[in-house]
Amino acid sequence: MSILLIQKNNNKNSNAFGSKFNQFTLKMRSLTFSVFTMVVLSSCANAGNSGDSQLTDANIAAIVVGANNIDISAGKIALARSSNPEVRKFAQTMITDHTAVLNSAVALVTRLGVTPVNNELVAVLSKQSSEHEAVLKTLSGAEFDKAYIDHEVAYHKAVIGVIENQLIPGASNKELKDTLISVLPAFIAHLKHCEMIQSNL
Amino acid sequence: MFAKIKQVKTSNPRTLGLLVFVASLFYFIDVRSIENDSHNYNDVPDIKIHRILISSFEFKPEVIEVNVGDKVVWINKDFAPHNISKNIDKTSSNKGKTETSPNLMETEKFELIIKQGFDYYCGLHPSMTGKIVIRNNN
Ligand SMILES: [Cu+2]
Repeated sequence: MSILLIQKNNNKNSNAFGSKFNQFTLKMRSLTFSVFTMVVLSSCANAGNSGDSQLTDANIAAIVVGANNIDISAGKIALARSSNPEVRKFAQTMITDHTAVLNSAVALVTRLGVTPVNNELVAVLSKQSSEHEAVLKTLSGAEFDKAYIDHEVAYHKAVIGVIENQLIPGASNKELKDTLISVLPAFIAHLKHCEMIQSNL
Repeated sequence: MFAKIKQVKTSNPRTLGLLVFVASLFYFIDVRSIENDSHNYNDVPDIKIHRILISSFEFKPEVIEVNVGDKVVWINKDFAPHNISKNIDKTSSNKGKTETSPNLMETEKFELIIKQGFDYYCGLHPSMTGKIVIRNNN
């Protein structure tokens, strides 16, 4: 379902591009999104189907830390490379909000005595993020803004799906579960925000 | 004597914490009684205080009806900062310009005496929107 949505978005966007080269890179990027989303979603499905979910609170902590760090890092690249005021404002909001989520998550798991333990999903997220950052660092101007914002839309959709379908149902500790529920509106507001920017690029 | 009390306060964080807690109870009781007043005397043209909570990335309530001269207080309950932004009159030379409150950190407030109705949004999260409507007193 969300794979279809993301592909639809990217098809729409590719029409807005003039040169064939841009259309090609965009298709490549759209492929990356789809593969990424499929992997994430299939790992959601696995966790949901197996009676005893493999996700521990330590895994969830690692996913939350990793997912926030990734968006902070992308935001810093955007502040360094973009000159579009709307894109820059969005990037600054990502840095501020995801730092706040990160800090409260770290404070909570420290208090609970949980040490984050990486799992397959953390590995997928961080691999995908370094590939994306490598692409971003080769782009500038409108091309950069488009690549950054398109990815932010896909990324927030994917992360919202993971939090809703995997992390919240998977959390054992009630405080951790409540924290996950309380950060969800932030991710949804961010998604709407980058979709608004996307429609104006 | 005074020095002794001061010493007790600063050396005992539990006492200090309790004081802050008790003080915050009074704060909430106070604001609530003001709010109840505004519900009881809707037809009296006295200045009223309206509270808008910012929580879970929403302005609550999203639409609020007030009289000219009333005070509106926004209170941020979220972990993330928010602000109150509005676009200035589109017809004037101010076209495209915005007016924005300071960014409100968690528990911070912003107050405004209302002179006219307006639509507003959070400049940090533009999907968050709200509306101040002037009540029709006929
Ligand atoms: Cu906001």
